[in-house]
Amino acid sequence: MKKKYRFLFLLMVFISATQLLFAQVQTVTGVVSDASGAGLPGVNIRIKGTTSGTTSDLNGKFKIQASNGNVLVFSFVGYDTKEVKVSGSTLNVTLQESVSKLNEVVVTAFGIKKETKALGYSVTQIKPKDIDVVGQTSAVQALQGKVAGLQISQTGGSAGGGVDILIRGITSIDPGRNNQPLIIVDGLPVDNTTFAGNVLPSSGSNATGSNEQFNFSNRAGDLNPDDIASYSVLKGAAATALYGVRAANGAIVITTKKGKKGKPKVNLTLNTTFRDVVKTPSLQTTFREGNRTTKIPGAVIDPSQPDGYLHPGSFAFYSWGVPFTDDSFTMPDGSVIDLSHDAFHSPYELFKTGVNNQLNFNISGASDKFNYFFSSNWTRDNGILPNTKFDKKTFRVNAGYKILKNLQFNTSIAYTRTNSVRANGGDKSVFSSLSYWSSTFPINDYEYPDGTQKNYTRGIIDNPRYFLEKSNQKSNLNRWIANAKLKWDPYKWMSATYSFQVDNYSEMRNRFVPPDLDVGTHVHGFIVDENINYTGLESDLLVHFNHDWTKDFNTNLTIGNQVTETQRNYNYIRGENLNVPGVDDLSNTINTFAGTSLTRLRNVGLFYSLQFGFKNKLFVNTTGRNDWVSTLPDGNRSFFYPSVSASYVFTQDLFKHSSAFTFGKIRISWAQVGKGPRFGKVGHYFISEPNFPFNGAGGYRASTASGDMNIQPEKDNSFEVGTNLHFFENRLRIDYSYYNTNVTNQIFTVGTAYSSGLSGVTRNAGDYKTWGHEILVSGDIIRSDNVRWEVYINWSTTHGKVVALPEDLKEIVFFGDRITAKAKVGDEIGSLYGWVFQTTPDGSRYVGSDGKWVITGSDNKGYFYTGTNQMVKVGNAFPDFVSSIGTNFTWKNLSFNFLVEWKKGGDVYDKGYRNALRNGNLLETQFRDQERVLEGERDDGNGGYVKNDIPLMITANSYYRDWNNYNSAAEVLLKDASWVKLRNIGITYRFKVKHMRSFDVFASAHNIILWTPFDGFDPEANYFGAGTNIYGFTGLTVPLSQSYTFGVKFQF
Amino acid sequence: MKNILKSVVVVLLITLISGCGKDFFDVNVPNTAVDASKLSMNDLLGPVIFHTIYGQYSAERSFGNYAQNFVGQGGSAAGVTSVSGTWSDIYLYTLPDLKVIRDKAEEVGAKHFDAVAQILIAINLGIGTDSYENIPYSEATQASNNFTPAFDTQESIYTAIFSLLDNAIAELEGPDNSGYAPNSSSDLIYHGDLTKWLKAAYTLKARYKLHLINKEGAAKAANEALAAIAKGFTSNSDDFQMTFTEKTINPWYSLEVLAKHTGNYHDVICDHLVSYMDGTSFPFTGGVVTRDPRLPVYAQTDDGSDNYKGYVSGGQGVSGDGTSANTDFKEEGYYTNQASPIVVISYAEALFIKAEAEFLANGGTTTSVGTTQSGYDAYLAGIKANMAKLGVSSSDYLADPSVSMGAANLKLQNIMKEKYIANFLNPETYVDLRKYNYSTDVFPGLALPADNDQGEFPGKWFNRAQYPSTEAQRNPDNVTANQKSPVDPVWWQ
Repeated sequence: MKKKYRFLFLLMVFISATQLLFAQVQTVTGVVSDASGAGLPGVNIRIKGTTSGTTSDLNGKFKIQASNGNVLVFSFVGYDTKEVKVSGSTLNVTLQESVSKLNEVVVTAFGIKKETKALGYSVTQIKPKDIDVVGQTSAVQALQGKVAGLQISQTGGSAGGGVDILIRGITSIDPGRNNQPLIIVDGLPVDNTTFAGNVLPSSGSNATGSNEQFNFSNRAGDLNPDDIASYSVLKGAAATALYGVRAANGAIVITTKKGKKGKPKVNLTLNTTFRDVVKTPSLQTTFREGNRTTKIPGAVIDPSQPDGYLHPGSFAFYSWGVPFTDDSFTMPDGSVIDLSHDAFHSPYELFKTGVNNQLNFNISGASDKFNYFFSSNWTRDNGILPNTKFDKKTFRVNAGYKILKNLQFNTSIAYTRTNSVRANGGDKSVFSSLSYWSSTFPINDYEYPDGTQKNYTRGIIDNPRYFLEKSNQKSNLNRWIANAKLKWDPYKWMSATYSFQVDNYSEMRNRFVPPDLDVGTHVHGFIVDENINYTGLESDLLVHFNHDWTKDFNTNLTIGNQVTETQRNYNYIRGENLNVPGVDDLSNTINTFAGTSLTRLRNVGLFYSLQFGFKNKLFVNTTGRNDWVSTLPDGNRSFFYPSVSASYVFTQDLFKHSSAFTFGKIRISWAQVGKGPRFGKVGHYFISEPNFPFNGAGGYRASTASGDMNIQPEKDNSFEVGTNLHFFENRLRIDYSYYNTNVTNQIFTVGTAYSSGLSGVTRNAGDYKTWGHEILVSGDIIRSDNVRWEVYINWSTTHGKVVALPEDLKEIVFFGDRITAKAKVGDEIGSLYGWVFQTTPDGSRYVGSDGKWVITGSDNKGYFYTGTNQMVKVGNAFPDFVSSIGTNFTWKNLSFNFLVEWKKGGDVYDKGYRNALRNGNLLETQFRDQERVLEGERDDGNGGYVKNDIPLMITANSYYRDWNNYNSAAEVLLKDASWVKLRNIGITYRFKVKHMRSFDVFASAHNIILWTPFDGFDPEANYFGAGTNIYGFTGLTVPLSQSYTFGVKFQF
Repeated sequence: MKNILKSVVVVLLITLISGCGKDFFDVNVPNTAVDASKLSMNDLLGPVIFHTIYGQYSAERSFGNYAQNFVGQGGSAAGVTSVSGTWSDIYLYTLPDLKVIRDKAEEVGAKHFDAVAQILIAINLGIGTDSYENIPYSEATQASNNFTPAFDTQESIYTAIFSLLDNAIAELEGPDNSGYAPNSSSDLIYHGDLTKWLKAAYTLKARYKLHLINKEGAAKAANEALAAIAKGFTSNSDDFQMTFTEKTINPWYSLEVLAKHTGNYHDVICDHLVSYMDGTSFPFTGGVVTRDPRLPVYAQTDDGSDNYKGYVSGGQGVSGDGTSANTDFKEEGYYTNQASPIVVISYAEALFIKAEAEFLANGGTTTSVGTTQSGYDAYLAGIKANMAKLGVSSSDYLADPSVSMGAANLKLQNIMKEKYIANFLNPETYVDLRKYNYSTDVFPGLALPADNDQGEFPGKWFNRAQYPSTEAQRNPDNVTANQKSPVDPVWWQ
């Protein structure tokens, strides 16, 4: 037993000592088993009121000398303690896994286990059995909706695609920096980067960055969800202060499974998941392709033509033609075009059902000296788009050996291999083409017999299916994480742990774009081969001391040292100008560009944590950490930050005799965390000009980025207060937190006017604060041996506000478009700006004499698109609150769960919406060539306003395509992306089978119900990849899917 | 307690061993970074020239459409532009590095290198001010010393241009014993030939002088231009141009030819250009020539026929005669093959500058007839030089009476027509159009895009580019103070 629990047992002994009983002693034998009937080894069995006891053996069997009438207390970590009166010589006991959070032990920073009651900050621990990980390819995604204050979003529907994780919103307003929490596995950080690389051609792409091009994976996805024993979400700075710099955005602490004493246990799970696109934009089904002014068809399907289309008009691009019901079209010269075979073909026939097959196998066990856990996972996923896939294989060995009585050695090796083929998103992609596609033409009719592209537009847009078949991004990743830990317990009051870890992966990526796709045209096709090699080394030394000064007062001290070194070696070769159009080989390219970058970070931390415990009800903890960070300039490299937290269990003093109020604790904390800039941001250098050598000349130029040489570490000062209240013997539990964080000296790259000669300067710039509330209410509605029914509700808000900016910086622009994500002083983070319709004094929309609305930025100079300074605040990308309600229900062998998540508020701009609107594809454009009196007020001629009565003929040019009066307005573009989702619903039936521990059959469904006012693809998918800092944009990415999973699980 | 202390000491020792040494943390310099002290002037020169050329190209992508050299696929006329590539090329990739070159040149007394840098600054300021009117210069590119540079008026930018060119001329005409000079590989224009840089400085000075006819008076501007052009280019080999390679392909080839090859969006040849070259606007009268021999060098028809029908700007695909247009960029044309040059200023333009200046200095107006013999000779020499450059025979063309009408019959429109043709894909044409306020006396047949009446600025020509959005967002006060409507004339107009 670990020393930290010693005082618990002392407490038990103390209580029991008053109730000594004397009776006839006999030998009692029996078996302690868990709910599945498997023997539980190592269970503490004690005669209540005495100090005598025993533990169960490997098979859960025990033998104890006790008298009839004695009460045996069975206790085991993670299970409800059970008291059974002795009556006879045999006694079989079933222990239920603990739902009580009272004496729960949670994993905190550096794998330090602490009782929840001693924590002065908020930690939420989740067990995989409480969440539905089956059928998920990402271990972190499984936490969706489970933890108040933790927001997890898929950034796209590619299997293995990135998952964006935010704990308490964003704390870093640097648009170039991510706010992802630190991921810790078994006490050691693992890399969770989403690396976009450089996949753009040297010309011909309008994409602002590579991060919008593919739904790149975040590396936490390499974990096998089935290996996980528990998650702890450390939310505030007080919880993560010991981790320092890298955990400034919180941490998710994952513990993997270990072999437990007993017979070897074997688990085998097989499951299949079917996925479909959950939601698509509504389309008009009435009108065919045709010119936006003349309605002349640009293309009519006609197999007798050389290219398969008759081209009466010159420009087949728009869906502004005549109704499908028209069987002919009379050309201006009087000739008649036959349209009798036209029909609506849904472009969403592009999508197919994705199939994910998984096989999970693990075997584990332990003896007195040795424990082991081995697992393997095989995943094959064929995506919802043709020619996309994601395959993953993982192996893990966790093993431990007790070298000496007080010396324990643990090691784990995890290997992951992923192979994926991904579809292109963003600018000039499959999805931008899809947004333009006219439903007049079957989307899957995409190539001629010679393999060339069949395209009704004659190349103005790409055929999305052809794009998918010919151009994609392949990735091949191998990752090893290996670590060794030595734990030495020389004295009862001291222990020391040393851990070392290597986290290494190499990924090869290949993007191929043939010359006939829009994005490849300007360079006559291109290939990008990328090689990413990451190595993270981690060395942690922790020494723990504890001492009970008196019966009521004890201290725990931890001193530690952490050395971290990470290095990312990235190189790419981009070949352009293909010799043979279809060959994906760099030697097939005429012009090659190459680049390499080496990103190195080094960090040394020295820290302590000192906890005082008083009477097991008042705990005060203080920590301090000094960091030395390589990304800061020499003189400012070292910085110290402290934290202090306290918790007080008041029920022992105030509600001692209340049976309803079981447990109450208040907690309060203050913490500071420091942060350095990103790699290589300090100073100003010259770099090799990317287009050189050119014609024999080499060339260098000044970098357009510069960094302040006197940059100071950024400091987050967090205050948190919260309470845990348990009622009715822990059956109703409430956990509430309020936090606020002031971030001072924010470090970020301030975009500068190019006329300064620089595009950006990295420096300390401004203060920022965040605050929010989190509530978790859970209750056991039924808790009996046969039936357990738990319901839980999460609710949280997060807000962030820019408090101050330097005088020369008016605003921080995250991303500029017709809707621009930016923030000025006083703005909430996530603010979105745009142009709006002009209004009259009473707030009605102003209607001009032409019957059209007017956009405010469109001033008398006649232009408004030249800058964003006339834009006004029109929304916010972040939700007002996020809430979820879930339930776990077990009745004998049947268990059932569901989880509904509700995101209220949060606005998004769909980057594909305007294309589809202007092209006449959307349902709203079905209203056309009819008059409409726009709602609003017009001038009454006397300086006042009256209700508008000027009819406007609604056409492509007069309305939908008119950016001066319609489609540049935020009212048109920005949409409320609130949603309610049935995240998952699942049912499992457990069969008892001979020679098996159990045999489970399960079925579940994810995201099958989505209610949202947003018309488009599921707005949860961010336009930008995971790990960017830009929110409020969606669309043009692989859409999210709903899924159905079926499987079986064998346990031996 | 003793044991605790002992353990603390052990921990501290291990910590110290694990190394907080300074070297351990000195890993924050990107592997691609180079210190300025290690770079020579020549190391910086190539990229500066490359971006100077790209600045011209980016501007012409919009202005070539405004000037009706070409139009978008289907005949579309360009809308409001901010030619943001040009802005970046000027302020991020040329002016800062030219400043470094000048500092280095000053250190070692490399006057000739300094002169080359000043000429390049003048060219960049020229394309900048001619695109946007007022632009930052005196407060620009001071890095962290000024993040919101004020803008200088176009007038003061022109003053700066002349001062830079005059300084460059003085330095190039003077001695330089420093031993530093542009070398043949880094000098992507003249490969180290400083006599050509000197001629370029004079030619550029003439060009910018002639821009000011509406400000300084036509005669004064023209005479100053004539004084400069006398020491300007003397042959086609003097042309200020950068030649691309099959490896780094010419962007016009990429934009217009490759895109078309693969059925993608590209520009097409404008009817206005074709009308100047096929006898429509300037009918041939000699009976021998029916078409300018340069037309097949610039353009080709869809069906390979000789019947070139350019796209009417904003005409939705029709040609000037109402039938479907058919004319694209030439696939292996002089300006549209992989290794084509991009020209900043040519010998032919120098001759047309002379012809235009002679015409104006002689009291010529947009409608007057007749010029000096020297002006007429320059006009003919300009045609000859341009045709020689493009590799076509000029004898038949020059023999046509509509071309060789004699000094007494020469009109400004004849000079400007030839300058228009010779400066194909050169943003200087857009200056000429604005300088004469789109006069159809000077540019017969020039008309607003056909769909102009449906656009945002009915009846108006675009006269400028808008400041790029990055500048508007990050230097808003100065942008607001200088921003005008895209149809407002610039100062010299």
